[in-house]
Amino acid sequence: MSHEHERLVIIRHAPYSSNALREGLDVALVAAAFGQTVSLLFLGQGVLALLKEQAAGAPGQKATLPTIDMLEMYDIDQLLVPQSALDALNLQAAQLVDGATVVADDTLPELVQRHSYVMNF
Amino acid sequence: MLHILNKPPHSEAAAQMLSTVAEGDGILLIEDAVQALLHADWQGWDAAADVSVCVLKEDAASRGLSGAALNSQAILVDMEGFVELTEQHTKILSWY
Amino acid sequence: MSDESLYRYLDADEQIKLDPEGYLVEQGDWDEGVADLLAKDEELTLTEEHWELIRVVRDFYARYEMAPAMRPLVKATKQALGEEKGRSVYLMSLFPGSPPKRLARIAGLPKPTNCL
Repeated sequence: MSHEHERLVIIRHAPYSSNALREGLDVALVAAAFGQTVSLLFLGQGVLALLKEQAAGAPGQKATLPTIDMLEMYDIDQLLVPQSALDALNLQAAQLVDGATVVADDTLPELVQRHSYVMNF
Repeated sequence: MLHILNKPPHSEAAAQMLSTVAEGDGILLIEDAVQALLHADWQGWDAAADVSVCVLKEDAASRGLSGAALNSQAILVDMEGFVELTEQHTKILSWY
Repeated sequence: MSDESLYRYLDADEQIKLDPEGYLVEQGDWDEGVADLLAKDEELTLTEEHWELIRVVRDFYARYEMAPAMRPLVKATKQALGEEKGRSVYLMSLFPGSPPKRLARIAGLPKPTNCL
């Protein structure tokens, strides 16, 4: 499968810590709404956005989980998490939403390399 | 791919960058990232095969690291060199 | 994101506030009667086919807290109403112009983001 014109959005920030997560998801949704193929890579704190037990938003803030769940409606079904990011947070794959895929760390350079557009949030 | 890092060499952003660097990529250290000059054993100096590590001269100088820069394996670039680097690479990824 | 400022009223009694783009200022004002008024406001008459789609976007919003753009609207319609109706041509025939925007407006939802 060619990834020549596909976009990779890297999410590195936790819910509620800043606007970065929200902005990254928005960029992914806009690109998908315009017909682009988009994959998401969650690094570091970004993995916390995928925890399936997240409840409603902190006071005055929008919850993250409904948006994560919505990604598949935009045909964004590659939610990639390196094993080391899970390990660093003492998390198990079972704690993540069903759509998340754990990948080996040594696949990351090639993953980033093969996407023509890569954006960091 | 040109990776631009502006966080310290042992920051989470730096570790995330290093996990994605591929053979033939370039790394440009700016702002706090120039502290890597104080760590000869920093993993980034040998991140992958054929990776050149550049340091923004101005940021090293303003932080008192010009001497360290001369003794390192870093390639020093000025603002003009920075622009040239961004032109040489088709893709640029900022780690902040 | 809908504007919170009042621009005009939908009804003669001046009970239902609309923002400059015609979306409800108070989502809580919505009911089926209001939907009919909103539709009439853009010269649409709601049939059962329209209502099916209004329910699809309201369900989408209840689940994901956002009104859908075209791509997810087509997908959600396909899932709820089947292949025949889950097409942009079908949506365009019932809500000409921009189906996501018109549907969101008539369904009493905020304007869809990420949408033309």
